[in-house]
Amino acid sequence: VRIVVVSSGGGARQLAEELSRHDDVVILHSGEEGRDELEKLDAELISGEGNDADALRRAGAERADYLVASSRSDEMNLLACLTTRQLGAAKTICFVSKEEYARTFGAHDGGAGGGAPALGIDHFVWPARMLADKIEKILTVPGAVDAGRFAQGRIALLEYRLRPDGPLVGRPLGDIRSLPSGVLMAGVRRGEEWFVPRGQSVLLAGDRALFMGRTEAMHQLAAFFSEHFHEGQTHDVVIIGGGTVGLRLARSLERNPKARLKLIEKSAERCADASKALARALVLHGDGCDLDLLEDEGVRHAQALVAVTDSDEKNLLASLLGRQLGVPKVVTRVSSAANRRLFERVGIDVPLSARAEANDAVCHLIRHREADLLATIGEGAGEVLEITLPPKFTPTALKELSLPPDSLVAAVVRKSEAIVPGGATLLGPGDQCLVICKVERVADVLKALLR
Amino acid sequence: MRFGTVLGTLGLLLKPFGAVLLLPAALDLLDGRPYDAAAFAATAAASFLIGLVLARRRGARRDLGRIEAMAVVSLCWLLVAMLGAVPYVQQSFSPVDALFETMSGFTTTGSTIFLVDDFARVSRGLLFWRALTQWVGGMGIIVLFVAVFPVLAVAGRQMFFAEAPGPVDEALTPRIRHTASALWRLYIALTAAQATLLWAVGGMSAFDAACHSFTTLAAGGFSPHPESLAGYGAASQWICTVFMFVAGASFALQYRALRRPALLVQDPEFRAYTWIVLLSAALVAALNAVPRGQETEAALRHALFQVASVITTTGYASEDYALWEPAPLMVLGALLFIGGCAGSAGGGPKVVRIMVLGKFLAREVLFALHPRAVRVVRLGGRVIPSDTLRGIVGFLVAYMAVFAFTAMVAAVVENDLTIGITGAITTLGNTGPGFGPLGPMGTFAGLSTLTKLLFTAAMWIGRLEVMTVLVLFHPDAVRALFGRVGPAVQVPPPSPAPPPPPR
Repeated sequence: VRIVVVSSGGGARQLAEELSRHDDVVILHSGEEGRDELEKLDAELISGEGNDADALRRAGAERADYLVASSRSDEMNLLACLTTRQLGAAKTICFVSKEEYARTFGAHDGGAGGGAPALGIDHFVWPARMLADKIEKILTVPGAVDAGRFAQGRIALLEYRLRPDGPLVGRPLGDIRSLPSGVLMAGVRRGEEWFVPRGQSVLLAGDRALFMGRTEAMHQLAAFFSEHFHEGQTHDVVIIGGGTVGLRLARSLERNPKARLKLIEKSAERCADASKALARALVLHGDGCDLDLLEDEGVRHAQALVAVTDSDEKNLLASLLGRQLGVPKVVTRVSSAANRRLFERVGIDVPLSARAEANDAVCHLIRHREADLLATIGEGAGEVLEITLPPKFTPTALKELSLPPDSLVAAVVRKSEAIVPGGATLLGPGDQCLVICKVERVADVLKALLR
Repeated sequence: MRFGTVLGTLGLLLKPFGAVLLLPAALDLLDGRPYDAAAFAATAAASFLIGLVLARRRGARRDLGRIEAMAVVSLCWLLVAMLGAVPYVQQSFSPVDALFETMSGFTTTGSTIFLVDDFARVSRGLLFWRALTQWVGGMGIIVLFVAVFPVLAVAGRQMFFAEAPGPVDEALTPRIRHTASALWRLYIALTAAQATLLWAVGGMSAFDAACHSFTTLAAGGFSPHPESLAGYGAASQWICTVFMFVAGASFALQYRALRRPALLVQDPEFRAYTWIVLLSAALVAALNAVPRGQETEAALRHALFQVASVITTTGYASEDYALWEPAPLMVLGALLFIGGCAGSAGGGPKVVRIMVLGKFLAREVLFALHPRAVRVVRLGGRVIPSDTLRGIVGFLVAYMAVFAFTAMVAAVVENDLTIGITGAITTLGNTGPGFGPLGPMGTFAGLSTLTKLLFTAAMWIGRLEVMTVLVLFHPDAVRALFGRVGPAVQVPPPSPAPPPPPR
């Protein structure tokens, strides 16, 4: 597969690196920034602007299968996609960061493949929105470090960090009877490693356990964990950074009438915008790393702190301060991939990156069109896929399928009914399977289910 | 000298104004009182002639600036009140009393210097004129002219908003003339509806029905009956209650609601207005019924009637509330400081301004708690821009300052605190009756000349919402209107050429 990536440094590097592992990548790069990094990649590097038809031709956009416009400028991305449509048959994926564009062109869910293609552009990707949505899901579930909802909300996903005194620790999974029915433990993350557990797997303290199941059953699970964590629902949230992500997050959290939000932003101009956009949240003009401000505003009593400024260093400092003040849940935005590991080392619970979310979505979009990527888990180590079984699929019991290791059919949606399957569950054509698997197993899973 | 423009425009407005005076003249002629009729006709002629003379002045009426517009509006209301006072003088009222009564009419205040005997003594034409001044003033004199005369179309826009009651900044239609005529058509239709109901259901005479509907829709409060609405039956009182409520709501909103009734429920000011009326009425009914043992219907009727009458600044009375206990009276006293909705016929500070003030104060409290907070004030989900907010708070401060000044001077001159305070707020808010000797069955006739003039000025300032009048006393406005040179700021003489820079 031939892919042209329009870049202007920064985040496009990760994407190009990821894509160049399997596919032929041509990078159309403007400016000098980040050039050295790109030269190290196994990809062709061409200088030029994405909105220049000649440059696109030089990059071979006519013959390409995909064009990913991921420069910093929305306008350049839009023009690059439109120009490419004129040049050839490449599918176009357009990154947008301004809310106006995202709204106008229908990237409503922020994710890849959202909405009807506008202007002939196949997919819009709105990273800020993806990140804000993700943070919201994490915040609204007590104790969880990751969360998601699928199949029109009928299936839910939660990830918990297991504490040493927890009931699930130190025993083989097969012995545990206290989990509500309709819930599966779908994955375990231990350090850098991610695997799908089996009956004899033993969980350790500090593991992150990923659960998936019917939403009602997951509520019981959440209750089970929140009882354990002595936490109620998260209402009291301090958001540091009033940029696109912070503002979007505050707006969606505000819909809950019980929410008490504080948004701390350094720029007076952004504060003014935020106070107009937010009806109830308290907008504070100040530095999120100002300890006096955090103390005066009672941040120690907050249930969660979200650090989403543009600067990784500020986010880290604010998050550590929050930790220090005793905030139970801290969510941190991190932009550079290098910082991400570092953040986890120093004890940041949930480092999240808008760009990484978006890159995962784009990679999936290009590689596995047969399956919809619903979420990535464990920092891209695992994926949640939705696969619709083809009409020629012969009905087979789940245990008869030759699914690869580290993969699991976590739920089946059949005629708007959500089932958590067992080994004997019979799968038939038209069933939508929600599959969790390691990234490198995606191809095998597809082979098993789409034969 | 831009004052010429002002005078020219004033002339343009005065010329046709006389026509309004021909209606009471005709009525007196029919009643066989030719002298009284002649007085009206003569005033009409005088108005036309003065208008003619002024309009001949060179002054482009089309390029009316902000200051000129405010000057025209302020002076127009003053001139019209002076002219309208002439028929009163002819029927043996003193000039000061006559000016007071006419200003009270045009500003839809409803404070009267009539004694009980005067109602029987004067001609029906004069009673009709008294009601008519309120009706014309209720929708606004300028709005009337803008609606009728295309020549004012451009300049009219400035004047329309200078006259508009409350912080109104949107026109119904793109063309101001269409907006003005739409408002007048609605106003006429409502007046006709009320007059018909009062005549057919309430059993009033046609004359009384007309006078009452004129003064109800204008939120004025003049009644041809010395006992106001207390002199009529319960049905008439209920009808008037409903129409007073209508007069206190924004006409522009009602016009839009004809097509989309849901707008009424969505409008935050209208909702607040409705709640204030209902809750205050319930409170008054409870406070009144318990000690006095009134029947439920009577208690509710009087409570609703009086609450509607005071909040819309109409000033009718269905009974003499000056005799009430202090508790229910204080409820009415509080309503004097609220007034009707913006864009209604009602006076006072307006519901929307009080709402905004409340939110502004709540924000100040928040700022005291969180010094770093950034917060906008919103009303019904819409953000109020900070300059609008400043304007509203500034208005309320100016309003209270004028009130305090008037109240203090009047209290000293009359040697009576009740007269000073309630007289000041009731005239400044264009309500009409006050408490004590100024109550609904009382009269302003016994006041000293100085107090009467002071209250006349308060009515004028209150109707034009303080700022339109106050700006004329600002040195810049004086210089702009009367100064000989165009620019208000003197251009400094050119300084001598700077010395060559040292090498």
